[in-house]
Amino acid sequence: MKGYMEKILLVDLSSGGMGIQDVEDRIYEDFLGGIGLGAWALSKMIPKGADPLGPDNVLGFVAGILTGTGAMMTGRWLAVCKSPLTGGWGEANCGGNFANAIKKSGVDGIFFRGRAERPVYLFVGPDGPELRDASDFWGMDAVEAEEALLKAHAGAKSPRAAVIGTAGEKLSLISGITNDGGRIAARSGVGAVMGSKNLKGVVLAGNQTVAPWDPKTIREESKAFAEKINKAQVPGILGHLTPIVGRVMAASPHTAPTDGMLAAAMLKKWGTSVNNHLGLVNGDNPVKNWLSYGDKDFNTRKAWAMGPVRMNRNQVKKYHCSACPVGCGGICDIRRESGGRFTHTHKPEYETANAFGALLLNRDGDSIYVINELLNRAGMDSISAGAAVAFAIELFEEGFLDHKDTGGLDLKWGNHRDIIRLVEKMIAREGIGDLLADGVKKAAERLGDKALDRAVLCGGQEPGMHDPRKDPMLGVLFSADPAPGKHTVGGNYIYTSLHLWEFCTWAPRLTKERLDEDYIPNDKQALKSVAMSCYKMLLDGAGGCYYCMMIGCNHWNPVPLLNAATGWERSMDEYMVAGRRINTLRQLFNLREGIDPRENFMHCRMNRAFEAGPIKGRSVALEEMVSLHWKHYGWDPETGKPTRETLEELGLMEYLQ
Amino acid sequence: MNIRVRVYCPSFCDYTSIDDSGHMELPAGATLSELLSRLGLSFLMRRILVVHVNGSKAPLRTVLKDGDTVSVLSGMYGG
Repeated sequence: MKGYMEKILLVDLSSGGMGIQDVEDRIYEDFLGGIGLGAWALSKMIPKGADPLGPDNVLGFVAGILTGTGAMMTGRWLAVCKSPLTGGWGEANCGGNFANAIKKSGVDGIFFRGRAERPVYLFVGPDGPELRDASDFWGMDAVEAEEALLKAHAGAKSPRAAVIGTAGEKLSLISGITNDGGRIAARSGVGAVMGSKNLKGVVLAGNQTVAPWDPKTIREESKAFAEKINKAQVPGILGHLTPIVGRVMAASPHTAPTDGMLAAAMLKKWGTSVNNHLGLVNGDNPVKNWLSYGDKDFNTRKAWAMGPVRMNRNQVKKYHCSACPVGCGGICDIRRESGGRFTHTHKPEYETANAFGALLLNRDGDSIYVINELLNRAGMDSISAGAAVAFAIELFEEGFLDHKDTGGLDLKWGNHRDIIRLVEKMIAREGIGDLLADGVKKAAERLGDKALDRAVLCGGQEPGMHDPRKDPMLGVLFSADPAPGKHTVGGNYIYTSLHLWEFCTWAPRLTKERLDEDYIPNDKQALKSVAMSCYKMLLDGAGGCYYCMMIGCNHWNPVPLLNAATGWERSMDEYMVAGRRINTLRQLFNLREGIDPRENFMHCRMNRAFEAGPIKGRSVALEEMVSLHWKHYGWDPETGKPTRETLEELGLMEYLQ
Repeated sequence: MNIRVRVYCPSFCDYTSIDDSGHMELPAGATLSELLSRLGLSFLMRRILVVHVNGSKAPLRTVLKDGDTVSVLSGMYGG
C-alpha cells in the first residue's frame, strides 16, 4: 500500500539462481525508487573495479515509486550498471509500456549478475521467474526478437519485453536495450552489458497489483493534469513557423519564466521534432561535429526536410507511453524512403534527427528515417552513433582517413548515402564500422593523438545534441553529472518552465533577467544548477518523464503524487534532499571506480566561442561554474569529492570506500 | 476593483506591469487584448501569437477574471 513493492529480484546468470530480496522502507525513504534504488543496489552489489563487461558487473532494470500507480507521466524505466563506455556510473532511460510490467512482476527492480553459458532470457509470469533458452532468438534484431518473444508468450496476460539487438550481442559499447518495437534505453552502453551476460531479453507478464496509499488523490491529480494536456492545443501552421520562433528566441537578450503547458502542446502535436529546425536557428543544435552553427555551414533556410512538418508527414499513428496524456511518439510509414526495405519506423526523435542531420551537414530527411530504423533494430544509441560518424567524417575530410581506411566509403559532410553505409558497417562491425561501434573514445584511442583532439566527448560519452554555448547550465550538467554528456539533465531553458522556486524554498526565483546573467559564475547560478540536478534525481526516483520538467511542477507536481503513493507527508524541500542523496551516491560510485570528476568535463570544442551566428561570443565559464555547483552540492569545489560533512548529513558514510 | 492575472510571456515583452511573482493587476472587466497591449504587443502581434487563457486558446475579446492565467508562447527547447 505504498506504491512501491518492497522487493527486488536478483538473478545470478552464472548459476541460474534467483531470489527475491526484501527492501526495507528506509531505503525507499532515503533513495526513492528508480534511479535511487538502482544507485543503492549497485553500490552494494558491484565489487570495486569490476570489469563492466565481466560477470561481476550488475545490470538493473528499475521502475520508479509512482510507476504503475496511475500517476500520469510515470511510464519510464531505467537500465543501470557500471558503464563500459565511461567506466563509471551508467544509466539509460526509456518509455513505452515496459516500466509498469516491472512493478506488476511484484518488484521495483530486477538485477542481473554473472554470465550465462548460453543465450538466455528471463520470463516472469504469475508463477514467478524462470530463465529460458534464448538460442532461437540470438542473432535477431531487436524488433524481431521482441515480436518473437512476445509471440512465444502470447498465452500470458499482457506480456512486455525488453531486448538487445545485434549491437548488444556484438558488445558494441554504444548499444542499448529496446522495448515497444525499437524504443531504446540507449545511453552508457547498457546493451553491451546485457550482451556480455548472454541475456537476450526480459519478458514480464506478472499480475501483481501496484497499490498506492491514497489512490483517490492520485486519480484526482492525474485527471486534472490530463484535462490540462487535453485542452492544450497549438495551431498546425506553427509547425511551418518554428524557424521564426527560433529567430525570435535567438534575438532576445532576456530570459523569463515560461508556461510549459504550451511546450507540452507542441510536443503533443509534433513530438520532439519540433526542435529540429527551431533549434538550428537559435543556436541550440550542434552543427558539423560541433565546429559550426546554423547558417554558416548548414543553410537553415534549406533545412525544411528536418522540420516538424516533414518529420510528421509520414506519421500513420500516434502513440503514448503508459499513463501519458501527451503522446509525443508516432509510427511513420517509410516504405518509399527505405526503398521497400522497411515498412515503418518510430518517428525520429530530435536527438536522432540532429545527430544524423546538422551534425553531419546532412539535410536528406529520408535518410534520417532509414538510419533511425537501422539503429532501432540494431539497438544502437543514435546520439553516440551520429557522433562517431561525425568524428569519422572530420578525419576523412582532413586526410587522416582515406578510402582504404573506410572500405571505399566517401565520407564527406552530407553524403547521406555513404553515411547510411557506414551505419550499416557499424552495426555489422565490419571494417571501419568495427572501429566506430565502440564509440568515439575507443576509436580515437586506436587512431592516435590527432584523432583524440577531435574526439568531442564528456568523459567517455558522446554528448547529447544541445549546445552548451546556448545554455550554460547544460554545460555544467553535461560535465558535472556522474553520467556525463546526458542531455536529459535540464538547463537554463528548462529552468524557466520548471517553476521549482514556487515549491522549493532554496531554488532561486526567476523573473525577467538579462540572458548574460546565466553565464556569470555566481552562487545564484550554482543554486539553480544544483536545484535542477536534485530535481532530476527526484524525478528519476519517482519514475517521471523528462518532459515533466519542461511542463513544470506548477502543472505536474511530484510532491502530492509521491505523498499519495507512499503515505509520507513530505515537502518538496525534503524530496530534494533525497535527490541530492541519490546524486551524491552516484558521484561516490564514480570516485570508487577511479573516475576523476574533472575528466568528465565537456570537450573544449563545445565551449569555443563562435565569431558570428546566434550564439556569437558565448562560452561557459566551466571551471568556475562547476566548482560552484560542487560547492553547493556539499562536494569539494576543487575535486568534486563529497565532503565528510555532506556524507554524514545524507547518511552515506557507509558507502565511502 | 482590480483583478490579478498570472502572466507568462516572451522575454521581449514589456514586463513593467508584471510583478516579481509574475502577476499583472488589471481593472475589472479588462480583456485579453488589453492585457496583451500592456505587454507592448502590437495589434498584429496580438493576432499572430499563440495565446492561451487557463490553458485554452481564447479570443482577444475574452474578459479576464481574477485568478486567470494568460500564457503567450515563448519558444521551445529540448528533445
